[in-house]
Amino acid sequence: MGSSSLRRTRIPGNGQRFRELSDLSTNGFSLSDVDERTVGGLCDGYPFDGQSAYSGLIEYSEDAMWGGGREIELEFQFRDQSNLFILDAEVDLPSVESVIQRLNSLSSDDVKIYRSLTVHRERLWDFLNNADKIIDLTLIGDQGTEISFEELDSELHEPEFEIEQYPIESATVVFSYEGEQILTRYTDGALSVHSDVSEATEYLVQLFERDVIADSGD
Amino acid sequence: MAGELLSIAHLRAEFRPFLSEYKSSILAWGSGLLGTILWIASSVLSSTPVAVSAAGMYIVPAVGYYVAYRPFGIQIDLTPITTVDGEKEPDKVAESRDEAILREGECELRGGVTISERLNSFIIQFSVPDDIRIELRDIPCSEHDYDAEKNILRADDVSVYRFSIVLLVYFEEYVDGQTYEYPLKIRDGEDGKSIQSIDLVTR
Repeated sequence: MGSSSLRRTRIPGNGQRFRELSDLSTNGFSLSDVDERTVGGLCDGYPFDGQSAYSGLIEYSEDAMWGGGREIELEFQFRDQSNLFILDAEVDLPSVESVIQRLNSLSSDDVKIYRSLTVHRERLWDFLNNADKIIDLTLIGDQGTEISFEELDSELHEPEFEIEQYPIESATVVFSYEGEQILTRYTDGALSVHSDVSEATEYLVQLFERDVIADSGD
Repeated sequence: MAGELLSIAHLRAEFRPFLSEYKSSILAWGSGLLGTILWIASSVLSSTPVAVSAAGMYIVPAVGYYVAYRPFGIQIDLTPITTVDGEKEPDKVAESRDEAILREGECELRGGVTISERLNSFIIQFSVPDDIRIELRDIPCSEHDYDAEKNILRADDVSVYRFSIVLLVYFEEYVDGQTYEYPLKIRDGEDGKSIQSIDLVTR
């Protein structure tokens, strides 16, 4: 199943600046030319309708512990209004972070791809609550300890327990789009979307942009 | 808020930062020295007025300092997290040393922030050296703004006085085997006062 990992990024100027990333190729890590497309809204009230998405390919060799290794090809995408950076992979990667770290170290200081999305907790909760199904949820309690899905069940009966004040350690939820189930996981401050249907993935990304990223107008 | 009774948690949120700052001031040093001299003198002279003056020499400057520089009102308790058998757990040993161990170049810190109810606004700045990055996992409350470039968390009309935060600190370019110690400083962005300092250690 293909997966898309969403990150927040800062690229000054506009998306044209992103094109320069394709000049960053080094030994064993190359970026292809960047294409531009316009994003059309799939969900109601999509606030970034018409934004530009710049996408291209990253190719690199992943070393294996016992020799050998494999060639990895990832599609990356930058959206110039929501400032999301998205890495699409057809295979499970041991570490998306290592790819992000290489991109950060290759690019100039003013380009940054962050590890955490750093979104408003309340809006993230609203987004997850709108899922069709919550499969798993782990929160971070007052003392830094984790509160599992099972423990939450008993805590929810406590009158003073306000679940949405707690940071989310991880959440696995399912959304659906035109009959397609979209497995969505939030962990360590990043979101990953798992679906074999690219339009379903795009729909979920747009939901996240609309409900969590866009200026809420507060 | 004036006139209302403050909860123990909020008095603690004010008292500890106040005590920490006052103890390091010249005023505390000077009044402590004079108070001690007067206290010894009161014993030698068996003089109650001198003893009272000695007590006053300790108390009055502290009260004056509090009134002049109040409010002291941001308290942050952070616990570094370590991974044991694949499970994340609080690293109480590192916490007791005001340290956070960066394993494989990174460490997560979790904790709580208490803002004094006397404060209407706050600015918290997280600062680390250039080689290190720090990110806030999420923005705790809808009334908060976070500047990811400057690592500043702020609120103008505060209504939530206690909230949890999660921080990720990591090397921009991690090289295995390096041993370093870097400071993570958390400051009150209004006046630059230090709220908390943690040593980020690689081992």
